[in-house]
Amino acid sequence: MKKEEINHLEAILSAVFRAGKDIHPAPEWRTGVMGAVRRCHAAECIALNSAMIPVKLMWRLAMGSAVAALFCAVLYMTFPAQKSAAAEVPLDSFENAVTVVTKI
Amino acid sequence: MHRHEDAAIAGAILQGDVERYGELLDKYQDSVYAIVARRVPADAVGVVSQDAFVRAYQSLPSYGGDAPFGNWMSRIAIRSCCAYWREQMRHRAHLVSMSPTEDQRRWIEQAAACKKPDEADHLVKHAEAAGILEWLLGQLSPEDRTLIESVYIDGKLLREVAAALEWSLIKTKVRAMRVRRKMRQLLESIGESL
Repeated sequence: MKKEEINHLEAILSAVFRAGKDIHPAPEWRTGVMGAVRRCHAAECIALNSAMIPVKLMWRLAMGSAVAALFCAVLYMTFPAQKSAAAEVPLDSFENAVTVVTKI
Repeated sequence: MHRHEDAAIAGAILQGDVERYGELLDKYQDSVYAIVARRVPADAVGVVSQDAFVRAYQSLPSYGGDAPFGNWMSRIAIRSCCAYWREQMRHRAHLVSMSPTEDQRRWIEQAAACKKPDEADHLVKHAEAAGILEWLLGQLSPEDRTLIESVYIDGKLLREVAAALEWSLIKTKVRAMRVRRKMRQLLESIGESL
């Protein structure tokens, strides 16, 4: 086969490739694609949520601790603590210190 | 204008408005279908086109909006076709290993000898033509097939195909030349056996 014959053959085969393939999608095809995309979106949301579980737990733990601390602070302000035995004895000497320790 | 519109739609989808993907689907379904229909058998066009759109949805965060959405989408469509042939190769289905039939050989003889454009038009519509083309492309690897279909037959730019196949431009050029040479040798071998 000559070079120009091969070139010619190539050109015809290119035209074959381009010809007769002008087909359009059916309406149900579109519905199928949107369904697949929605499923994909839902799967992504689930994946995202499961990845967020440790973060959510940490957040809840932090919020819980903050509320507990606030509650304790309010409780302390409302009912002041009883003065301890240590507060009654002035710490001005070694004896006093010993008395304090023995009282405790 | 379209680019900005498409980028805005992509942004909305990424914000969670998945229904707006329908707008992109309506805009580009015909072009994607046309790309896929040229590259895979008729019974697989719907599935491969769907795969291309689902891949595009999954890759949407990587679409920056700086290139037209249509070009970006066509790259994904080409990649989906290549993946289809890779899958077929793995399952050893649709492999064309037989030599061309007697009618197909006769068609090649006619096509090589024809000089008039009217005759060429007639030859393009011949049933043997599609069989010969399928036989030729069936001799190539999925990547080579995608390359030759896109560059020499579909007339796409080398850099577009390089981007679609995620190859360097040099590699794409060299490989395209080699594959074309292989195809010419195949055609010559049929011609010699006539």
